[in-house]
Amino acid sequence: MIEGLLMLAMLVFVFFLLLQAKRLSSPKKKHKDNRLLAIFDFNLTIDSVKKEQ
Amino acid sequence: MRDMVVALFVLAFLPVALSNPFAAFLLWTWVGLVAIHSYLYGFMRGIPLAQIFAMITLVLLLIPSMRGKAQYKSGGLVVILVMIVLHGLLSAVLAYPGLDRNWELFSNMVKTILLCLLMPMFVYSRRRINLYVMLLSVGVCFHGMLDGLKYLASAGSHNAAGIQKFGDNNHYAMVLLMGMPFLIYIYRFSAHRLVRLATAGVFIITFLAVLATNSRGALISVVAMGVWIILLGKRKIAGLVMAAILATLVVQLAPAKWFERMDTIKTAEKDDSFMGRVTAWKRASAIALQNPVFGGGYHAGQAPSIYEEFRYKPGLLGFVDTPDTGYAAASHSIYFEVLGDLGFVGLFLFMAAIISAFHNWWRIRRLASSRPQELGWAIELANMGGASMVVFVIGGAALSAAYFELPYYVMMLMQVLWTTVRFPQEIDPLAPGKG
Repeated sequence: MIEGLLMLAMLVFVFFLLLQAKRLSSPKKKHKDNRLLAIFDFNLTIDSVKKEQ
Repeated sequence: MRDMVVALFVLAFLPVALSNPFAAFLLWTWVGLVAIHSYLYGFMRGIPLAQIFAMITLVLLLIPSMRGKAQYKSGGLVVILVMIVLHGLLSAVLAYPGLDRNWELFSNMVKTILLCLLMPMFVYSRRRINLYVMLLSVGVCFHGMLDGLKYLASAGSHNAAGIQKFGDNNHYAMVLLMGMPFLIYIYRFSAHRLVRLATAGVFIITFLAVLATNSRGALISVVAMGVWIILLGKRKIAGLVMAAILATLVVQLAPAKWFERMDTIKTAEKDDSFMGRVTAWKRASAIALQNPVFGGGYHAGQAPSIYEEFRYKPGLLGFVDTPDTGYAAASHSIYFEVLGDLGFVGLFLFMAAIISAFHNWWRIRRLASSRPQELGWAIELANMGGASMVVFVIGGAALSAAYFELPYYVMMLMQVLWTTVRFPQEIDPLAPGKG
């Protein structure tokens, strides 16, 4: 049960990461407003982390 | 049912992979690390997913429009890895006869190094590095999540042995520990609070999985990794607090048998398990002394005929008294494993690859420290890559793990990280200045 659920979660997560990878290779404006994919983004500077925290 | 779900996801992955070589490359890395077939029991178990995604990556690279505009920045590690393959090939050809896994291990090394050599073509900007780090962490920590949750559910009585791919519990613990530092990086730099919280949870549960392995080597590796991270990190107090939380978890959750097992570290010289390893090291070094350039071939010391030939030869460790194990045990040390299998030249190349990782770490820190606002992430990631390598260098000293793929991926990640911070404008066509 645990294995199955974790595997499902991982597969979904990997799928989103793949979409993120695809987005990186495409022109940026095309996916500019995709908030779902944006949750896997990283802050660009240490400052932006500090501000959020 | 599980096979069906995985099959459906693979079918969903395929169009993405076929339209984007970077996605195919990520899938190749992830599938190799997660070894998903180990958790499947039906028709998907026999599907060679790693080969499929590797083939897709390679075929797409042949199509000029798919290849992208990024320049291939090699660096010293690329040369070392190519030399490791060429030298390994000669070692395999000139190996002692009757080695069961000679060509299998060489072939695994070729696949691992091929992926590493392709990495600079795909992982050349900050965003791409972040994605790669996330995939790497998912691939490794999935196993840790499973065993960590089982450990919690069983109130500490679950023994984590890992999957067959990793070998025994000690190897498994090393792999988990090598993945954990990257979770710290993801936690620190992820833009979304949800991802940060999830990462913290995965870190703690993976740590529980390490406890569940009952590996003594893992305890030593955890201490080394912790010292590295705390000493090099900017947030030393936060690091110490985290170490205290983890130590409290150990005291509260680990059963008495775990403490009894760890206590035997103090009497290693009287421990049959440890002294059996020293016996294997003697044999491996004796093989290398007889075959200094190419060694005996992959896992030569484990072949019964070679074992009998070198059984009583002291090699480089004649000054240590060891018992006669009576069987051809594995080398149980990345250094002696390579020494016996690939000779002194092989060990030199192997050490050069490891040193290159730490050299890249040092170069990244030196360059990035002059621009901490812009490149603080690179310092942090280099520190975490270094922590991962510390686990390999120290934990691997008593394990036969020299041909695992993860350490090579980390070494190459350090190389591409260096290239990314050193030549950001030259090789990232999409994001000038920042990837």
